[in-house]
Amino acid sequence: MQEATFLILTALADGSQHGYGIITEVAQISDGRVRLRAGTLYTALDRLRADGLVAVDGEEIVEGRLRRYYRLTPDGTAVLAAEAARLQANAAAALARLRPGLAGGLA
Amino acid sequence: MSDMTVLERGYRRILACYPRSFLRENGDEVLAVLLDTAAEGRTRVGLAGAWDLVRGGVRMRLWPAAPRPRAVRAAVTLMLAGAATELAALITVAVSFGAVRAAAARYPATTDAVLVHQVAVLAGAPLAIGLWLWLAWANGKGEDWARMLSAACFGLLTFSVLDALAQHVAAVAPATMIAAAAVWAVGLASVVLIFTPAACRYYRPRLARILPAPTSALWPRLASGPDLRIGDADREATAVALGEHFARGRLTLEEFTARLDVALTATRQSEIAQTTRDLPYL
Repeated sequence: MQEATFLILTALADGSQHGYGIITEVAQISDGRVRLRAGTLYTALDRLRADGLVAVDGEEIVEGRLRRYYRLTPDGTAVLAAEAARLQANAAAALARLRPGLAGGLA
Repeated sequence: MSDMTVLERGYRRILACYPRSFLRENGDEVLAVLLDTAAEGRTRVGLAGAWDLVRGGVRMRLWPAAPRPRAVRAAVTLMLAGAATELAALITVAVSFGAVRAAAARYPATTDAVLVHQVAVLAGAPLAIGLWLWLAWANGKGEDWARMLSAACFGLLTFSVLDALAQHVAAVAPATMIAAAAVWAVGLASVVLIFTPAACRYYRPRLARILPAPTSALWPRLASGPDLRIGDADREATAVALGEHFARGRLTLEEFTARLDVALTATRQSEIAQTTRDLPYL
Protein backbone atom coordinates (compact mmCIF):
# COMPACT_ATOMS: atom_id res chain seq x y z
CA MET A 1 0.00 0.00 0.00
CA GLN A 2 1.36 3.42 -0.93
CA GLU A 3 1.94 5.89 1.86
CA ALA A 4 -0.59 8.38 0.45
CA THR A 5 -3.27 5.67 0.38
CA PHE A 6 -2.44 4.59 3.91
CA LEU A 7 -2.65 8.17 5.17
CA ILE A 8 -5.96 8.82 3.39
CA LEU A 9 -7.49 5.73 5.02
CA THR A 10 -6.03 6.83 8.36
CA ALA A 11 -7.56 10.30 7.97
CA LEU A 12 -10.98 8.65 7.54
CA ALA A 13 -10.53 6.16 10.38
CA ASP A 14 -12.23 8.24 13.08
CA GLY A 15 -15.02 9.76 11.02
CA SER A 16 -16.05 10.97 7.59
CA GLN A 17 -14.22 13.85 5.91
CA HIS A 18 -14.57 15.90 2.76
CA GLY A 19 -11.74 16.25 0.24
CA TYR A 20 -10.21 19.39 1.73
CA GLY A 21 -10.60 17.89 5.20
CA ILE A 22 -8.64 14.79 4.16
CA ILE A 23 -5.80 16.96 2.85
CA THR A 24 -5.51 18.89 6.14
CA GLU A 25 -5.88 15.70 8.23
CA VAL A 26 -3.14 13.96 6.26
CA ALA A 27 -0.85 16.96 6.71
CA GLN A 28 -1.54 16.85 10.43
CA ILE A 29 -1.08 13.08 10.78
CA SER A 30 2.24 13.20 8.96
CA ASP A 31 3.45 16.28 10.85
CA GLY A 32 3.25 18.37 7.68
CA ARG A 33 5.55 16.01 5.79
CA VAL A 34 2.91 14.82 3.29
CA ARG A 35 0.97 17.53 1.51
CA LEU A 36 -1.53 15.76 -0.72
CA ARG A 37 -2.42 17.48 -3.95
CA ALA A 38 -5.89 17.29 -5.42
CA GLY A 39 -4.85 15.07 -8.35
CA THR A 40 -3.19 12.51 -6.10
CA LEU A 41 -6.08 12.59 -3.63
CA TYR A 42 -8.83 12.04 -6.16
CA THR A 43 -6.94 9.39 -8.15
CA ALA A 44 -6.49 7.49 -4.88
CA LEU A 45 -10.10 8.06 -3.79
CA ASP A 46 -11.37 6.86 -7.17
CA ARG A 47 -9.44 3.63 -6.75
CA LEU A 48 -10.39 3.19 -3.10
CA ARG A 49 -14.06 3.62 -3.96
CA ALA A 50 -13.81 1.09 -6.79
CA ASP A 51 -12.12 -1.35 -4.40
CA GLY A 52 -14.93 -0.84 -1.89
CA LEU A 53 -12.64 0.50 0.86
CA VAL A 54 -14.14 4.00 0.91
CA ALA A 55 -17.72 5.14 0.29
CA VAL A 56 -19.46 8.48 -0.17
CA ASP A 57 -21.12 9.63 3.06
CA GLY A 58 -23.27 12.52 1.86
CA GLU A 59 -22.88 15.88 0.18
CA GLU A 60 -23.48 19.50 1.03
CA ILE A 61 -23.09 22.87 -0.66
CA VAL A 62 -20.92 25.34 1.24
CA GLU A 63 -20.53 28.85 -0.17
CA GLY A 64 -21.71 27.64 -3.54
CA ARG A 65 -19.18 24.82 -3.68
CA LEU A 66 -19.89 21.11 -3.61
CA ARG A 67 -18.53 19.20 -0.63
CA ARG A 68 -18.68 15.44 -0.69
CA TYR A 69 -17.96 13.45 2.46
CA TYR A 70 -16.15 10.13 2.43
CA ARG A 71 -16.05 7.38 5.03
CA LEU A 72 -14.29 4.05 5.52
CA THR A 73 -16.30 0.92 4.71
CA PRO A 74 -15.93 -2.18 6.94
CA ASP A 75 -13.57 -3.55 4.27
CA GLY A 76 -11.57 -0.33 4.42
CA THR A 77 -11.31 -0.58 8.20
CA ALA A 78 -10.09 -4.18 7.93
CA VAL A 79 -7.51 -3.36 5.28
CA LEU A 80 -6.24 -0.36 7.23
CA ALA A 81 -6.03 -2.40 10.44
CA ALA A 82 -4.16 -5.21 8.69
CA GLU A 83 -1.77 -2.76 7.04
CA ALA A 84 -1.16 -0.91 10.31
CA ALA A 85 -0.45 -4.24 12.05
CA ARG A 86 1.94 -5.23 9.28
CA LEU A 87 3.82 -1.92 9.48
CA GLN A 88 3.96 -2.20 13.26
CA ALA A 89 5.33 -5.75 13.04
CA ASN A 90 7.98 -4.62 10.55
CA ALA A 91 8.93 -1.62 12.68
CA ALA A 92 9.12 -3.79 15.79
CA ALA A 93 11.36 -6.27 13.99
CA ALA A 94 13.64 -3.46 12.77
CA LEU A 95 13.91 -1.91 16.24
CA ALA A 96 14.53 -5.30 17.85
CA ARG A 97 17.43 -5.94 15.49
CA LEU A 98 18.82 -2.45 15.94
CA ARG A 99 18.57 -2.54 19.71
CA PRO A 100 21.84 -4.41 20.50
CA GLY A 101 23.75 -1.86 18.44
CA LEU A 102 21.86 1.09 19.89
CA ALA A 103 22.07 -0.06 23.51
CA GLY A 104 25.50 -1.58 23.81
CA GLY A 105 27.50 0.23 21.16
CA LEU A 106 30.22 -1.93 19.59
CA ALA A 107 30.39 -5.28 21.26
CA MET B 1 -12.27 38.21 -8.28
CA SER B 2 -10.90 38.30 -11.80
CA ASP B 3 -7.75 36.55 -10.48
CA MET B 4 -9.97 33.73 -9.28
CA THR B 5 -11.58 33.22 -12.64
CA VAL B 6 -8.22 33.02 -14.40
CA LEU B 7 -7.09 30.40 -11.90
CA GLU B 8 -10.37 28.54 -12.17
CA ARG B 9 -10.20 28.56 -15.94
CA GLY B 10 -6.66 27.19 -15.75
CA TYR B 11 -7.72 24.34 -13.47
CA ARG B 12 -10.72 23.56 -15.68
CA ARG B 13 -8.49 23.33 -18.73
CA ILE B 14 -6.15 20.82 -17.05
CA LEU B 15 -9.04 18.82 -15.59
CA ALA B 16 -10.08 18.05 -19.18
CA CYS B 17 -7.43 15.29 -19.19
CA TYR B 18 -9.57 13.26 -16.75
CA PRO B 19 -12.14 10.76 -18.07
CA ARG B 20 -15.47 12.43 -18.81
CA SER B 21 -17.40 10.04 -16.55
CA PHE B 22 -15.14 11.00 -13.64
CA LEU B 23 -15.57 14.73 -14.30
CA ARG B 24 -19.34 14.43 -14.48
CA GLU B 25 -19.43 13.02 -10.99
CA ASN B 26 -16.43 14.66 -9.34
CA GLY B 27 -15.41 17.64 -11.48
CA ASP B 28 -17.06 20.36 -9.35
CA GLU B 29 -15.79 18.81 -6.15
CA VAL B 30 -12.17 18.53 -7.38
CA LEU B 31 -12.31 22.11 -8.61
CA ALA B 32 -13.61 23.27 -5.21
CA VAL B 33 -10.73 21.49 -3.44
CA LEU B 34 -8.22 22.93 -5.92
CA LEU B 35 -9.48 26.45 -5.27
CA ASP B 36 -9.60 25.84 -1.49
CA THR B 37 -6.02 24.61 -1.40
CA ALA B 38 -4.61 27.22 -3.77
CA ALA B 39 -2.22 29.53 -1.94
CA GLU B 40 -3.48 33.02 -1.13
CA GLY B 41 -2.94 35.38 -4.04
CA ARG B 42 -2.16 32.65 -6.55
CA THR B 43 -3.42 33.66 -9.97
CA ARG B 44 -2.03 30.89 -12.14
CA VAL B 45 -1.84 27.14 -11.88
CA GLY B 46 1.59 26.14 -10.53
CA LEU B 47 3.79 23.70 -12.42
CA ALA B 48 3.78 21.09 -9.63
CA GLY B 49 0.01 21.28 -9.23
CA ALA B 50 -0.52 21.02 -12.98
CA TRP B 51 1.80 18.02 -13.20
CA ASP B 52 -0.01 16.30 -10.33
CA LEU B 53 -3.36 16.80 -12.07
CA VAL B 54 -2.15 15.62 -15.47
CA ARG B 55 -0.51 12.56 -13.93
CA GLY B 56 -3.73 11.64 -12.12
CA GLY B 57 -5.81 12.09 -15.26
CA VAL B 58 -3.49 10.01 -17.42
CA ARG B 59 -3.33 7.28 -14.78
CA MET B 60 -7.12 7.19 -14.53
CA ARG B 61 -7.47 6.89 -18.29
CA LEU B 62 -4.82 4.22 -18.74
CA TRP B 63 -5.63 2.15 -15.67
CA PRO B 64 -9.27 2.71 -14.78
CA ALA B 65 -10.00 1.87 -11.17
CA ALA B 66 -11.59 -1.54 -10.95
CA PRO B 67 -11.48 -4.14 -8.23
CA ARG B 68 -8.76 -6.15 -9.93
CA PRO B 69 -5.93 -7.98 -8.21
CA ARG B 70 -2.48 -6.58 -8.84
CA ALA B 71 -1.45 -9.67 -10.85
CA VAL B 72 -4.30 -9.11 -13.31
CA ARG B 73 -3.57 -5.39 -13.57
CA ALA B 74 0.08 -6.17 -14.28
CA ALA B 75 -0.91 -8.80 -16.85
CA VAL B 76 -3.17 -6.30 -18.63
CA THR B 77 -0.36 -3.73 -18.68
CA LEU B 78 2.00 -6.39 -20.06
CA MET B 79 -0.49 -7.32 -22.78
CA LEU B 80 -0.68 -3.68 -23.81
CA ALA B 81 3.13 -3.74 -23.81
CA GLY B 82 2.87 -6.88 -25.95
CA ALA B 83 0.86 -4.95 -28.53
CA ALA B 84 3.52 -2.22 -28.49
CA THR B 85 6.32 -4.78 -28.82
CA GLU B 86 4.52 -6.38 -31.73
CA LEU B 87 4.32 -2.98 -33.39
CA ALA B 88 8.06 -2.56 -32.80
CA ALA B 89 8.63 -6.02 -34.35
CA LEU B 90 6.58 -5.00 -37.36
CA ILE B 91 8.67 -1.87 -37.82
CA THR B 92 11.88 -3.87 -37.34
CA VAL B 93 10.96 -6.35 -40.03
CA ALA B 94 9.76 -3.65 -42.41
CA VAL B 95 12.96 -1.64 -42.00
CA SER B 96 15.33 -4.62 -42.25
CA PHE B 97 13.53 -6.41 -45.06
CA GLY B 98 16.06 -5.40 -47.73
CA ALA B 99 19.06 -6.26 -45.58
CA VAL B 100 17.59 -9.63 -44.70
CA ARG B 101 16.99 -10.45 -48.33
CA ALA B 102 20.64 -9.66 -49.08
CA ALA B 103 21.83 -11.76 -46.13
CA ALA B 104 19.55 -14.62 -47.08
CA ALA B 105 21.33 -14.88 -50.42
CA ARG B 106 24.36 -16.18 -48.51
CA TYR B 107 22.27 -19.00 -47.05
CA PRO B 108 20.43 -20.25 -50.13
CA ALA B 109 19.04 -23.26 -48.31
CA THR B 110 17.15 -21.13 -45.82
CA THR B 111 16.15 -18.20 -48.02
CA ASP B 112 12.59 -19.30 -48.56
CA ALA B 113 11.89 -20.22 -44.98
CA VAL B 114 13.28 -16.92 -43.67
CA LEU B 115 11.41 -14.84 -46.22
CA VAL B 116 8.23 -16.73 -45.46
CA HIS B 117 8.77 -15.92 -41.79
CA GLN B 118 9.33 -12.24 -42.58
CA VAL B 119 6.24 -12.02 -44.73
CA ALA B 120 4.26 -13.83 -42.03
CA VAL B 121 5.37 -11.22 -39.48
CA LEU B 122 4.45 -8.37 -41.83
CA ALA B 123 1.04 -9.79 -42.58
CA GLY B 124 0.32 -11.18 -39.13
CA ALA B 125 1.46 -8.25 -36.99
CA PRO B 126 -1.68 -6.12 -37.35
CA LEU B 127 -3.73 -9.18 -36.45
CA ALA B 128 -1.45 -9.93 -33.51
CA ILE B 129 -1.68 -6.35 -32.25
CA GLY B 130 -5.46 -6.58 -32.35
CA LEU B 131 -5.33 -9.90 -30.52
CA TRP B 132 -3.10 -8.50 -27.76
CA LEU B 133 -5.44 -5.53 -27.25
CA TRP B 134 -8.51 -7.74 -27.26
CA LEU B 135 -7.01 -10.18 -24.75
CA ALA B 136 -5.89 -7.29 -22.52
CA TRP B 137 -9.45 -5.95 -22.49
CA ALA B 138 -11.11 -9.33 -21.88
CA ASN B 139 -8.61 -10.44 -19.22
CA GLY B 140 -9.11 -7.11 -17.49
CA LYS B 141 -12.81 -7.94 -17.25
CA GLY B 142 -12.01 -11.32 -15.73
CA GLU B 143 -13.35 -13.43 -18.59
CA ASP B 144 -12.19 -16.99 -18.05
CA TRP B 145 -12.21 -17.81 -21.77
CA ALA B 146 -9.77 -14.93 -22.32
CA ARG B 147 -7.38 -16.59 -19.91
CA MET B 148 -7.59 -19.89 -21.77
CA LEU B 149 -7.24 -18.14 -25.12
CA SER B 150 -4.20 -16.26 -23.84
CA ALA B 151 -2.58 -19.54 -22.84
CA ALA B 152 -3.40 -21.07 -26.22
CA CYS B 153 -1.98 -18.05 -28.06
CA PHE B 154 1.15 -18.25 -25.97
CA GLY B 155 1.50 -21.90 -26.97
CA LEU B 156 1.26 -20.93 -30.65
CA LEU B 157 3.73 -18.10 -30.08
CA THR B 158 6.20 -20.51 -28.47
CA PHE B 159 5.81 -22.88 -31.40
CA SER B 160 6.44 -20.10 -33.93
CA VAL B 161 9.56 -18.92 -32.07
CA LEU B 162 10.93 -22.48 -31.93
CA ASP B 163 10.11 -22.89 -35.62
CA ALA B 164 11.92 -19.65 -36.43
CA LEU B 165 14.95 -20.88 -34.47
CA ALA B 166 14.92 -24.16 -36.37
CA GLN B 167 14.79 -22.27 -39.66
CA HIS B 168 17.98 -20.33 -38.74
CA VAL B 169 16.15 -17.02 -38.76
CA ALA B 170 18.57 -15.92 -36.03
CA ALA B 171 21.55 -16.20 -38.36
CA VAL B 172 19.94 -14.35 -41.25
CA ALA B 173 17.71 -11.86 -39.48
CA PRO B 174 18.97 -11.30 -35.91
CA ALA B 175 16.80 -8.21 -35.36
CA THR B 176 13.65 -10.16 -36.23
CA MET B 177 14.68 -12.93 -33.85
CA ILE B 178 15.30 -10.48 -31.00
CA ALA B 179 11.89 -8.88 -31.58
CA ALA B 180 10.24 -12.31 -31.59
CA ALA B 181 12.02 -13.23 -28.34
CA ALA B 182 10.86 -9.98 -26.73
CA VAL B 183 7.25 -10.65 -27.71
CA TRP B 184 7.57 -14.19 -26.38
CA ALA B 185 8.97 -12.98 -23.03
CA VAL B 186 6.09 -10.52 -22.62
CA GLY B 187 3.64 -13.33 -23.43
CA LEU B 188 5.26 -15.66 -20.91
CA ALA B 189 5.15 -13.08 -18.13
CA SER B 190 1.51 -12.16 -18.74
CA VAL B 191 0.37 -15.80 -18.92
CA VAL B 192 2.22 -16.61 -15.68
CA LEU B 193 0.56 -13.63 -13.99
CA ILE B 194 -3.00 -14.56 -14.96
CA PHE B 195 -2.51 -18.06 -13.57
CA THR B 196 -1.22 -16.96 -10.15
CA PRO B 197 -3.49 -17.86 -7.21
CA ALA B 198 -4.50 -14.22 -6.65
CA ALA B 199 -5.55 -13.87 -10.29
CA CYS B 200 -7.40 -17.22 -10.21
CA ARG B 201 -9.64 -15.89 -7.46
CA TYR B 202 -10.51 -12.94 -9.69
CA TYR B 203 -11.41 -15.17 -12.62
CA ARG B 204 -13.33 -17.67 -10.55
CA PRO B 205 -14.95 -15.87 -7.65
CA ARG B 206 -17.58 -18.53 -7.10
CA LEU B 207 -15.18 -21.43 -6.84
CA ALA B 208 -12.81 -19.46 -4.62
CA ARG B 209 -15.54 -19.10 -2.03
CA ILE B 210 -15.85 -22.86 -1.76
CA LEU B 211 -12.15 -23.69 -1.73
CA PRO B 212 -10.00 -22.80 1.28
CA ALA B 213 -7.05 -20.47 0.76
CA PRO B 214 -3.97 -22.45 -0.30
CA THR B 215 -1.84 -21.92 2.76
CA SER B 216 -0.73 -24.42 5.36
CA ALA B 217 -1.86 -22.10 8.14
CA LEU B 218 -5.47 -22.50 7.10
CA TRP B 219 -5.42 -26.30 7.12
CA PRO B 220 -5.41 -26.97 10.86
CA ARG B 221 -7.65 -30.02 10.52
CA LEU B 222 -5.28 -31.70 8.14
CA ALA B 223 -2.10 -31.13 10.13
CA SER B 224 -1.62 -34.36 12.03
CA GLY B 225 2.17 -34.64 11.79
CA PRO B 226 4.75 -32.68 13.80
CA ASP B 227 3.98 -29.06 14.69
CA LEU B 228 5.73 -27.45 11.74
CA ARG B 229 7.33 -24.03 11.72
CA ILE B 230 5.66 -21.36 9.59
CA GLY B 231 6.94 -18.49 7.47
CA ASP B 232 6.04 -14.91 6.57
CA ALA B 233 3.72 -16.09 3.77
CA ASP B 234 1.62 -18.04 6.28
CA ARG B 235 1.50 -15.13 8.72
CA GLU B 236 0.53 -12.71 5.99
CA ALA B 237 -2.15 -15.01 4.54
CA THR B 238 -3.67 -15.52 7.98
CA ALA B 239 -3.63 -11.75 8.63
CA VAL B 240 -5.47 -11.18 5.36
CA ALA B 241 -7.96 -13.96 6.19
CA LEU B 242 -8.60 -12.45 9.65
CA GLY B 243 -9.18 -9.06 8.00
CA GLU B 244 -11.72 -10.69 5.72
CA HIS B 245 -13.52 -12.34 8.65
CA PHE B 246 -13.52 -8.99 10.46
CA ALA B 247 -14.95 -7.29 7.40
CA ARG B 248 -17.74 -9.87 7.33
CA GLY B 249 -18.63 -9.18 10.93
CA ARG B 250 -17.41 -12.47 12.38
CA LEU B 251 -14.91 -10.75 14.69
CA THR B 252 -15.12 -7.59 16.77
CA LEU B 253 -12.33 -5.04 16.39
CA GLU B 254 -10.82 -6.17 19.73
CA GLU B 255 -10.93 -9.85 18.75
CA PHE B 256 -9.49 -9.00 15.35
CA THR B 257 -6.52 -7.04 16.68
CA ALA B 258 -5.83 -9.61 19.40
CA ARG B 259 -5.82 -12.45 16.89
CA LEU B 260 -3.76 -10.40 14.46
CA ASP B 261 -1.10 -9.98 17.16
CA VAL B 262 -1.01 -13.74 17.66
CA ALA B 263 -0.99 -14.49 13.93
CA LEU B 264 1.82 -12.05 13.13
CA THR B 265 4.12 -13.34 15.89
CA ALA B 266 3.29 -17.06 15.61
CA THR B 267 6.16 -19.42 14.77
CA ARG B 268 4.33 -22.78 14.82
CA GLN B 269 1.35 -24.11 12.90
CA SER B 270 -0.53 -24.88 16.11
CA GLU B 271 -0.21 -21.25 17.29
CA ILE B 272 -1.42 -19.69 14.07
CA ALA B 273 -4.15 -22.28 13.56
CA GLN B 274 -5.89 -21.30 16.78
CA THR B 275 -6.53 -17.80 15.40
CA THR B 276 -8.81 -19.18 12.68
CA ARG B 277 -9.98 -22.44 14.28
CA ASP B 278 -13.50 -21.26 15.13
CA LEU B 279 -13.97 -19.45 11.82
CA PRO B 280 -15.51 -20.92 8.66
CA TYR B 281 -13.50 -21.22 5.45
CA LEU B 282 -13.52 -18.11 3.31
